[in-house]
Amino acid sequence: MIVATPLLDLKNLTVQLNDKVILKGVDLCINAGEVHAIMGPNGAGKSTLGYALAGRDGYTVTHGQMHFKGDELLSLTPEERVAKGLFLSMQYPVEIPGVSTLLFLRTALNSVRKARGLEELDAPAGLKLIREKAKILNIDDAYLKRPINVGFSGGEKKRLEALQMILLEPSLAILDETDSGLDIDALKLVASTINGLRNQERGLLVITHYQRLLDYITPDRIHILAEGKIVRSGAADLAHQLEAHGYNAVASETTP
Amino acid sequence: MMLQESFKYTPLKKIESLYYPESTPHAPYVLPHPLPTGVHVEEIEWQAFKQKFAELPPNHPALQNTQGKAWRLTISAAYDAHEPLILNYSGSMATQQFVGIDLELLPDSRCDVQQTFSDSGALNVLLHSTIGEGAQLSLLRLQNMDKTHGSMLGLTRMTLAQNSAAQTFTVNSGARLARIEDHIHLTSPHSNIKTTTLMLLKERQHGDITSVIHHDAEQTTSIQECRTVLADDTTGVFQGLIKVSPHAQKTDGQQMSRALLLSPSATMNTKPELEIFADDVKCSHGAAIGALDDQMLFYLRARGIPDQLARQLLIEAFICEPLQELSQIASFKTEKLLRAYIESDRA
Repeated sequence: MIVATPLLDLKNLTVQLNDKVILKGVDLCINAGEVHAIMGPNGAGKSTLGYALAGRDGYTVTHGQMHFKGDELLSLTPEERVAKGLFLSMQYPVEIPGVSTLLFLRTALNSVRKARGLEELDAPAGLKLIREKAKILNIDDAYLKRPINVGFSGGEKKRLEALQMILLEPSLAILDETDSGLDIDALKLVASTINGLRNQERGLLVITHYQRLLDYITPDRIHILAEGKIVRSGAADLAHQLEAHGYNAVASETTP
Repeated sequence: MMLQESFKYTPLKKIESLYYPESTPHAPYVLPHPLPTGVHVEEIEWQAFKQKFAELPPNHPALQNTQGKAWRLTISAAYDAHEPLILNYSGSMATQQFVGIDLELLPDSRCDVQQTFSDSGALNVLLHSTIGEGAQLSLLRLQNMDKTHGSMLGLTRMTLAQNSAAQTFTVNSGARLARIEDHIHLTSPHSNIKTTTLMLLKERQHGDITSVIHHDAEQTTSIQECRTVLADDTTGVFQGLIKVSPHAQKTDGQQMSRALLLSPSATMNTKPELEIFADDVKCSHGAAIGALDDQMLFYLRARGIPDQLARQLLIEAFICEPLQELSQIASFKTEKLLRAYIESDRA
């Protein structure tokens, strides 16, 4: 029997930030083609999980393993992880004055293409591709000329995150609170863009407080993260139980 | 101004250590050639020229010499330049030169002057400038002398008449040690000055931007911006003094210095000063010193941009923002200098 290598395989992942242990042994396995959601109260360690996977400085893995496509992520730089197919859509995208969004997108696109052994796109070809993808997300040309995220509303920033995601074509996208700041129309648009990415080779890890986004992106598995551990896992309907009864009540029941 | 105080962060001993025997200077190379009608140049007597800086301490290092040469450049009334006047100064190996320019803009003239400083040796450049009523000066200064064997002291005294304006853009990126010191006198109402400076330092360079702006009349405006990038073992100095006389009501003086430290062994010294003797004025100053922003760097890297390229993008963003002020020709020249700095391995 051939057993496929999981896309992401976390075992006993323990992460600390400034001497404080945030994740206390997380086990999580995502196979290609699957969508998983992580839900949990404030301070549970949801964003820390995203940052640790993306390789942010200061998020120190003290125990456990994080295998991505069979390789340990720990020894890879953030940019190497992106080239390998990991993408983190951030809860709070950073504003960078002085760097135009277009230049940023083209630089990111070509850096990743180069690292994946693909030919870099020249300026007109890059622009054409970026414009095409931007159109899908209703992002106007004028936004591309502005400095990265400067003066963008919360919803515009999240749409720009989604644009970066579809440009970089990740195998595993981690969406940290992608729904926050989005109005209903934008939420549907972003959700349908994300759904457009779903295929047999790709995986998604959706981090969210509410079931709202999960109404549009149906997960295969939902995990409840509380105090640095996954305390319960279940099918899609777990989100509705959470919405009805709250984290404390649902988390204390045992995993079926 | 006490000399020792003004040279606290650029010690006179350090300047002296870079001195060479004095030599007779050559005239700066002036373009276009021949000069356009309305621009007149003549050699003037050095000692008389030096008197124009008499209010400065006589032992100021840029005034310590015996063999200086000076030229007067007169821009006739209502002259409107179509192309810039370019003055190229070059130092010469192991010698010290003193060169002076007396630049006079007659009323209602407009002139674009570009000064470049290159090569090695010690170069002392004096600029005395009077901007007549309603005249406008745009001054670009590019200092790109040899980083090991070059040093430069620039000393400028500028006086602005009623309704006149001057805009300066300075890149201080060369020389082992360079100090650019400006004394600006806004002596009549509605005169204004805007200065933008970029200091780009690497290896063991020492760069100093010192300015004193005198608001001596009502309704005068000054805007100063200085951005410094320091790599390796460099030292940067920004000293900015805004002086507002008792009768200079409705003065608007703004000053901002930002420094980006790229190395733990780089040092930035910032000294903003306000001396205000009028009561109806608006003056502000700000100074910020910091490293590249970790969050920004991570954001770029989390989009697949390699660390070094991400750093270059952020440095470029920091120094290229003020370039939007420049004319196309000026920004082309300037960008070449900036790019050389950004793309070098150390930055």
